[in-house]
Amino acid sequence: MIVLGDRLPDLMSDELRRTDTVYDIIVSGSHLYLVCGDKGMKCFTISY
Amino acid sequence: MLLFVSRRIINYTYRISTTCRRQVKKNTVVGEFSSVSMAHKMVPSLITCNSLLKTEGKYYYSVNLSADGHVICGMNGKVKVWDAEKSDIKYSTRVEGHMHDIKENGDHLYGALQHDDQLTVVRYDRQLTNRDTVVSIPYKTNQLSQIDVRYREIVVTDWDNELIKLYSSDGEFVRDVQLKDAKQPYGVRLMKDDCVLVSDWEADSVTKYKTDGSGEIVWRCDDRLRYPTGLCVNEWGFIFVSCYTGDKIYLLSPQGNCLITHCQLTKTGCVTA
Repeated sequence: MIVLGDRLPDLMSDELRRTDTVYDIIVSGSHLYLVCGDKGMKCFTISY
Repeated sequence: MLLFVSRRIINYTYRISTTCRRQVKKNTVVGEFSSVSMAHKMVPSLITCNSLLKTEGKYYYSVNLSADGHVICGMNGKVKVWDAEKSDIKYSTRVEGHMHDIKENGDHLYGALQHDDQLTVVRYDRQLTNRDTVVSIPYKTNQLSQIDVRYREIVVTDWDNELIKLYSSDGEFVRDVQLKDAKQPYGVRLMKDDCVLVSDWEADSVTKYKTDGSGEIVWRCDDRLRYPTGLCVNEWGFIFVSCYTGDKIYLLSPQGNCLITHCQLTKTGCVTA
Protein backbone atom coordinates (compact mmCIF):
# COMPACT_ATOMS: atom_id res chain seq x y z
CA MET A 1 0.00 0.00 0.00
CA ILE A 2 1.23 3.48 -0.86
CA VAL A 3 0.81 6.01 1.93
CA LEU A 4 2.09 9.32 0.69
CA GLY A 5 0.21 11.31 3.28
CA ASP A 6 2.47 10.10 6.04
CA ARG A 7 5.48 11.93 4.72
CA LEU A 8 4.39 14.70 2.39
CA PRO A 9 3.84 18.10 3.96
CA ASP A 10 1.15 20.03 2.13
CA LEU A 11 -0.12 23.55 2.14
CA MET A 12 -3.73 24.50 2.28
CA SER A 13 -5.61 27.71 2.77
CA ASP A 14 -7.20 28.47 6.11
CA GLU A 15 -10.40 28.85 4.14
CA LEU A 16 -10.74 25.11 3.88
CA ARG A 17 -10.18 24.71 7.60
CA ARG A 18 -13.08 27.06 8.28
CA THR A 19 -15.28 25.06 5.95
CA ASP A 20 -17.63 22.63 7.59
CA THR A 21 -20.46 20.36 6.53
CA VAL A 22 -19.21 19.44 3.07
CA TYR A 23 -21.61 17.45 0.91
CA ASP A 24 -19.95 17.20 -2.45
CA ILE A 25 -16.68 17.63 -4.32
CA ILE A 26 -15.63 17.95 -7.92
CA VAL A 27 -12.12 18.28 -9.31
CA SER A 28 -11.31 19.49 -12.78
CA GLY A 29 -7.73 20.23 -13.75
CA SER A 30 -6.44 22.80 -11.28
CA HIS A 31 -9.84 23.59 -9.81
CA LEU A 32 -11.53 21.95 -6.86
CA TYR A 33 -15.08 22.78 -5.83
CA LEU A 34 -16.57 21.99 -2.44
CA VAL A 35 -20.24 22.27 -1.55
CA CYS A 36 -20.61 23.53 2.00
CA GLY A 37 -24.29 23.69 2.92
CA ASP A 38 -25.27 27.18 4.08
CA LYS A 39 -21.72 28.44 3.44
CA GLY A 40 -22.32 28.08 -0.30
CA MET A 41 -19.93 26.59 -2.81
CA LYS A 42 -16.22 27.28 -2.65
CA CYS A 43 -13.82 27.11 -5.55
CA PHE A 44 -10.19 26.27 -4.80
CA THR A 45 -7.12 26.34 -6.99
CA ILE A 46 -4.83 23.34 -6.74
CA SER A 47 -1.11 23.43 -7.42
CA TYR A 48 0.65 20.15 -8.02
CA MET B 1 51.42 -9.98 -15.97
CA LEU B 2 50.29 -8.78 -12.57
CA LEU B 3 49.20 -5.47 -14.08
CA PHE B 4 47.18 -7.30 -16.79
CA VAL B 5 45.35 -9.46 -14.22
CA SER B 6 44.58 -6.42 -12.07
CA ARG B 7 43.06 -4.57 -15.06
CA ARG B 8 40.91 -7.63 -15.92
CA ILE B 9 39.64 -7.78 -12.34
CA ILE B 10 38.89 -4.05 -12.31
CA ASN B 11 37.07 -4.24 -15.67
CA TYR B 12 35.04 -7.24 -14.54
CA THR B 13 34.08 -5.52 -11.27
CA TYR B 14 33.09 -2.38 -13.17
CA ARG B 15 30.88 -4.38 -15.57
CA ILE B 16 29.10 -6.10 -12.67
CA SER B 17 28.49 -2.86 -10.79
CA THR B 18 27.27 -1.12 -13.96
CA THR B 19 24.87 -3.99 -14.68
CA CYS B 20 23.56 -3.82 -11.12
CA ARG B 21 23.05 -0.05 -11.32
CA ARG B 22 21.18 -0.42 -14.62
CA GLN B 23 19.04 -3.15 -13.11
CA VAL B 24 18.20 -1.00 -10.09
CA LYS B 25 17.40 1.96 -12.33
CA LYS B 26 15.23 -0.20 -14.58
CA ASN B 27 13.30 -1.57 -11.60
CA THR B 28 12.88 1.91 -10.21
CA VAL B 29 11.40 3.31 -13.38
CA VAL B 30 9.45 0.36 -14.67
CA GLY B 31 8.50 -1.34 -11.44
CA GLU B 32 6.36 -0.29 -8.53
CA PHE B 33 7.84 3.20 -8.32
CA SER B 34 6.08 4.26 -11.49
CA SER B 35 2.79 4.19 -9.59
CA VAL B 36 4.36 6.18 -6.74
CA SER B 37 5.60 8.90 -9.09
CA MET B 38 2.17 8.96 -10.73
CA ALA B 39 0.55 9.30 -7.33
CA HIS B 40 2.96 12.12 -6.43
CA LYS B 41 1.67 14.09 -9.40
CA MET B 42 -1.86 13.66 -8.07
CA VAL B 43 -1.14 15.03 -4.62
CA PRO B 44 -1.96 18.74 -4.33
CA SER B 45 0.87 20.84 -2.87
CA LEU B 46 -1.19 23.98 -2.40
CA ILE B 47 -4.92 24.61 -2.23
CA THR B 48 -6.18 28.17 -2.08
CA CYS B 49 -9.73 29.45 -2.05
CA ASN B 50 -10.29 31.95 -4.83
CA SER B 51 -14.01 32.32 -5.22
CA LEU B 52 -17.28 31.65 -3.54
CA LEU B 53 -20.82 31.17 -4.75
CA LYS B 54 -23.35 31.89 -2.06
CA THR B 55 -26.98 32.90 -1.87
CA GLU B 56 -28.39 33.95 1.49
CA GLY B 57 -31.01 31.55 2.78
CA LYS B 58 -29.98 28.80 0.39
CA TYR B 59 -28.45 25.48 1.36
CA TYR B 60 -26.02 23.96 -1.11
CA TYR B 61 -25.97 20.18 -1.61
CA SER B 62 -24.20 19.28 -4.81
CA VAL B 63 -21.80 20.42 -7.50
CA ASN B 64 -20.94 19.16 -10.94
CA LEU B 65 -19.33 20.39 -14.12
CA SER B 66 -20.95 20.55 -17.52
CA ALA B 67 -19.10 19.64 -20.70
CA ASP B 68 -18.77 23.33 -21.55
CA GLY B 69 -17.05 24.03 -18.24
CA HIS B 70 -19.93 25.53 -16.28
CA VAL B 71 -20.56 24.68 -12.65
CA ILE B 72 -23.96 23.16 -11.83
CA CYS B 73 -25.19 23.59 -8.27
CA GLY B 74 -28.10 21.89 -6.55
CA MET B 75 -29.55 23.53 -3.43
CA ASN B 76 -32.78 23.92 -1.54
CA GLY B 77 -35.36 25.57 -3.75
CA LYS B 78 -33.02 26.22 -6.65
CA VAL B 79 -30.70 24.93 -9.36
CA LYS B 80 -27.99 27.17 -10.76
CA VAL B 81 -25.58 26.94 -13.65
CA TRP B 82 -22.61 29.17 -12.91
CA ASP B 83 -19.90 30.48 -15.21
CA ALA B 84 -16.91 30.25 -12.87
CA GLU B 85 -14.61 32.24 -15.18
CA LYS B 86 -16.89 35.28 -15.20
CA SER B 87 -18.47 34.62 -11.78
CA ASP B 88 -21.78 34.93 -13.53
CA ILE B 89 -25.03 32.96 -13.21
CA LYS B 90 -25.83 31.52 -16.63
CA TYR B 91 -29.11 29.77 -15.83
CA SER B 92 -31.23 29.38 -12.75
CA THR B 93 -34.56 27.81 -11.89
CA ARG B 94 -36.71 27.36 -8.81
CA VAL B 95 -37.66 23.94 -7.45
CA GLU B 96 -39.94 22.74 -4.69
CA GLY B 97 -37.79 20.82 -2.27
CA HIS B 98 -34.09 20.04 -2.01
CA MET B 99 -31.99 19.32 -5.08
CA HIS B 100 -29.59 16.84 -3.51
CA ASP B 101 -27.62 16.16 -6.64
CA ILE B 102 -27.52 17.11 -10.29
CA LYS B 103 -25.51 15.53 -13.09
CA GLU B 104 -25.08 16.12 -16.79
CA ASN B 105 -25.72 13.40 -19.36
CA GLY B 106 -25.66 14.29 -23.04
CA ASP B 107 -27.94 17.27 -23.62
CA HIS B 108 -29.74 16.91 -20.30
CA LEU B 109 -29.23 17.57 -16.62
CA TYR B 110 -30.59 14.93 -14.23
CA GLY B 111 -31.42 15.97 -10.68
CA ALA B 112 -32.30 14.14 -7.46
CA LEU B 113 -35.07 16.27 -5.97
CA GLN B 114 -36.26 15.43 -2.48
CA HIS B 115 -39.62 16.78 -1.36
CA ASP B 116 -41.55 15.47 1.65
CA ASP B 117 -41.14 11.68 1.68
CA GLN B 118 -40.37 11.31 -1.99
CA LEU B 119 -37.28 11.49 -4.15
CA THR B 120 -37.92 12.45 -7.76
CA VAL B 121 -35.39 12.12 -10.54
CA VAL B 122 -36.04 15.09 -12.81
CA ARG B 123 -34.58 15.93 -16.20
CA TYR B 124 -33.80 19.42 -17.53
CA ASP B 125 -32.48 20.79 -20.76
CA ARG B 126 -29.17 22.68 -20.53
CA GLN B 127 -30.89 26.05 -20.12
CA LEU B 128 -33.09 24.74 -17.29
CA THR B 129 -36.20 25.88 -19.15
CA ASN B 130 -37.96 22.52 -19.53
CA ARG B 131 -38.34 19.84 -16.89
CA ASP B 132 -39.90 16.40 -16.84
CA THR B 133 -40.11 13.68 -14.22
CA VAL B 134 -38.08 10.54 -14.92
CA VAL B 135 -38.97 8.47 -11.85
CA SER B 136 -40.41 8.96 -8.36
CA ILE B 137 -39.18 6.94 -5.40
CA PRO B 138 -41.03 6.89 -2.05
CA TYR B 139 -38.73 7.25 0.96
CA LYS B 140 -39.31 6.30 4.56
CA THR B 141 -37.24 9.18 5.87
CA ASN B 142 -35.87 12.49 4.63
CA GLN B 143 -32.67 10.87 3.54
CA LEU B 144 -30.00 12.45 1.39
CA SER B 145 -29.32 10.78 -1.92
CA GLN B 146 -26.89 11.35 -4.73
CA ILE B 147 -27.37 10.16 -8.27
CA ASP B 148 -25.13 9.52 -11.22
CA VAL B 149 -26.02 9.18 -14.86
CA ARG B 150 -23.90 7.57 -17.53
CA TYR B 151 -25.13 7.06 -21.07
CA ARG B 152 -28.47 5.27 -20.61
CA GLU B 153 -28.11 4.35 -16.95
CA ILE B 154 -29.14 6.17 -13.76
CA VAL B 155 -28.07 5.12 -10.27
CA VAL B 156 -29.56 6.46 -7.02
CA THR B 157 -28.41 5.70 -3.47
CA ASP B 158 -31.00 4.61 -0.90
CA TRP B 159 -29.68 4.64 2.65
CA ASP B 160 -32.94 3.48 4.23
CA ASN B 161 -32.50 0.12 2.54
CA GLU B 162 -28.69 0.08 2.11
CA LEU B 163 -28.92 -0.33 -1.63
CA ILE B 164 -28.57 1.43 -4.95
CA LYS B 165 -31.36 1.65 -7.49
CA LEU B 166 -30.60 1.38 -11.18
CA TYR B 167 -32.86 2.84 -13.86
CA SER B 168 -32.60 3.50 -17.55
CA SER B 169 -32.19 7.16 -18.50
CA ASP B 170 -35.91 7.14 -19.39
CA GLY B 171 -36.87 5.99 -15.90
CA GLU B 172 -37.44 2.30 -16.52
CA PHE B 173 -36.53 0.28 -13.43
CA VAL B 174 -33.57 -2.04 -14.03
CA ARG B 175 -32.66 -3.49 -10.64
CA ASP B 176 -31.86 -2.88 -6.99
CA VAL B 177 -28.37 -3.80 -5.85
CA GLN B 178 -28.12 -4.61 -2.15
CA LEU B 179 -24.82 -3.23 -0.88
CA LYS B 180 -22.92 -5.62 1.36
CA ASP B 181 -21.92 -4.19 4.75
CA ALA B 182 -23.40 -0.79 3.89
CA LYS B 183 -24.99 1.45 6.54
CA GLN B 184 -25.81 4.81 4.95
CA PRO B 185 -24.71 4.94 1.30
CA TYR B 186 -24.63 8.50 0.03
CA GLY B 187 -22.21 9.53 -2.74
CA VAL B 188 -22.22 7.50 -5.94
CA ARG B 189 -20.29 7.32 -9.22
CA LEU B 190 -20.88 4.97 -12.11
CA MET B 191 -17.64 3.54 -13.50
CA LYS B 192 -16.74 2.30 -16.97
CA ASP B 193 -16.26 -1.32 -15.88
CA ASP B 194 -19.88 -2.04 -14.82
CA CYS B 195 -19.04 -1.04 -11.29
CA VAL B 196 -20.08 1.76 -9.01
CA LEU B 197 -18.25 3.73 -6.32
CA VAL B 198 -20.29 4.38 -3.19
CA SER B 199 -19.36 6.49 -0.16
CA ASP B 200 -20.91 5.51 3.15
CA TRP B 201 -20.68 8.15 5.85
CA GLU B 202 -21.98 5.89 8.60
CA ALA B 203 -19.62 3.02 7.73
CA ASP B 204 -16.71 5.46 7.10
CA SER B 205 -15.87 3.80 3.81
CA VAL B 206 -15.71 4.11 0.04
CA THR B 207 -16.52 0.88 -1.72
CA LYS B 208 -16.42 -0.26 -5.32
CA TYR B 209 -19.30 -2.64 -6.06
CA LYS B 210 -20.31 -4.60 -9.12
CA THR B 211 -23.65 -3.43 -10.52
CA ASP B 212 -24.66 -6.84 -11.89
CA GLY B 213 -27.08 -7.47 -9.02
CA SER B 214 -24.71 -9.50 -6.88
CA GLY B 215 -23.57 -6.47 -4.91
CA GLU B 216 -20.13 -8.04 -4.86
CA ILE B 217 -17.40 -5.87 -3.41
CA VAL B 218 -14.43 -5.23 -5.73
CA TRP B 219 -12.56 -3.28 -3.05
CA ARG B 220 -13.32 -1.30 0.07
CA CYS B 221 -11.31 1.54 1.58
CA ASP B 222 -11.99 2.35 5.22
CA ASP B 223 -8.43 3.33 5.99
CA ARG B 224 -8.57 6.64 7.90
CA LEU B 225 -11.82 7.68 6.25
CA ARG B 226 -14.26 9.59 8.45
CA TYR B 227 -17.73 10.69 7.27
CA PRO B 228 -17.03 10.51 3.52
CA THR B 229 -19.65 12.32 1.44
CA GLY B 230 -19.24 13.28 -2.22
CA LEU B 231 -16.69 11.71 -4.51
CA CYS B 232 -15.33 12.30 -7.98
CA VAL B 233 -12.87 10.59 -10.28
CA ASN B 234 -10.27 12.48 -12.30
CA GLU B 235 -9.01 11.57 -15.77
CA TRP B 236 -6.35 9.22 -14.35
CA GLY B 237 -8.83 7.30 -12.21
CA PHE B 238 -7.78 8.82 -8.89
CA ILE B 239 -10.68 9.38 -6.52
CA PHE B 240 -11.21 12.58 -4.51
CA VAL B 241 -13.52 12.22 -1.52
CA SER B 242 -14.97 15.05 0.55
CA CYS B 243 -15.59 14.76 4.26
CA TYR B 244 -18.79 15.84 6.03
CA THR B 245 -16.89 17.67 8.78
CA GLY B 246 -15.02 19.68 6.14
CA ASP B 247 -11.51 19.44 7.52
CA LYS B 248 -10.30 16.70 5.22
CA ILE B 249 -10.04 15.77 1.58
CA TYR B 250 -9.15 12.19 0.82
CA LEU B 251 -7.35 10.99 -2.26
CA LEU B 252 -7.69 7.32 -3.18
CA SER B 253 -5.82 5.38 -5.82
CA PRO B 254 -7.86 3.63 -8.55
CA GLN B 255 -7.32 0.42 -6.55
CA GLY B 256 -8.84 1.92 -3.42
CA ASN B 257 -5.76 2.76 -1.37
CA CYS B 258 -5.94 5.92 0.67
CA LEU B 259 -3.04 8.03 -0.58
CA ILE B 260 -3.40 11.19 1.41
CA THR B 261 -5.59 12.81 3.98
CA HIS B 262 -5.30 16.46 4.90
CA CYS B 263 -5.95 16.31 8.58
CA GLN B 264 -3.67 18.64 10.55
CA LEU B 265 -4.37 22.17 9.40
CA THR B 266 -2.45 24.93 11.17
CA LYS B 267 -3.16 28.64 11.48
CA THR B 268 -0.63 29.44 8.76
CA GLY B 269 -2.35 27.13 6.34
CA CYS B 270 0.38 24.52 6.51
CA VAL B 271 -0.81 20.99 6.80
CA THR B 272 1.05 17.82 7.58
CA ALA B 273 -1.02 14.93 6.46
